Amino acid sequence: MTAAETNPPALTQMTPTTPMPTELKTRTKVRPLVLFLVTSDPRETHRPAEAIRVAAGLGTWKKADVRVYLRGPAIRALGEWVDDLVEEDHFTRYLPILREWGHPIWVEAGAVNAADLGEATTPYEAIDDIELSRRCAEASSILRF
Amino acid sequence: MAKLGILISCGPDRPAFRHGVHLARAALGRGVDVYLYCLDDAVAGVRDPDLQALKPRGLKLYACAFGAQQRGLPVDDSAAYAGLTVVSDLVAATDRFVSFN
Repeated sequence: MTAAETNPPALTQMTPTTPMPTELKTRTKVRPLVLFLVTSDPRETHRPAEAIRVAAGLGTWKKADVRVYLRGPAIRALGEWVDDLVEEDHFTRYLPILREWGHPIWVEAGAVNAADLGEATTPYEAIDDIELSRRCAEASSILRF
Repeated sequence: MAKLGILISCGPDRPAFRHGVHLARAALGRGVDVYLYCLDDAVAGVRDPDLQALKPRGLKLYACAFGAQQRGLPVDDSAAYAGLTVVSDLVAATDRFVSFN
């Protein structure tokens, strides 16, 4: 069975045939929690789009729980209109994968950009900085984009 | 043997890239099994001499194949060019997984 037959089409693009670190395959532990902390502006840099791509690709393998937090201008990634964002196709392609996981994307409470979202494409939950710090403490790893 | 996973996503001109390389070097010096994955802008630093110098000391070096393709970088034996499934394996199976962004 080929990778294209076992993976969603969008994922075959980002998971080419790979040399697997076979020495790691035999080890198991409690599933880690990886938090993507996205603070960069998707109108100016590809980093938020890359974060969404990597979050979707990482979580799909079910070896880690993945959560995404958007802060400040990064909240625009959830907006109804992404045409003016860098690598906008990543948002339209990979955000639906995150949506299927059934938990909301976390966003900065009171962020000024929230009003600019229009009809948000993905469910989100606003959390304040105290709650963010608690959730960061619970994460096994934090990846900042 | 303890296993350490390191992900670097910033370019080689950034201090965080150096921090990641230094951590890998220090961990190897303490006998830790180190796996380092270059993602996003960090794929441009795969051929960094400081990073390459760690391979003979046991560093397992991976790089994002998609990122290299996007940037027109050659996919050669400077690293094992791989997809996100390898990142998933590293997160799940190393004792610690840290990132430098």
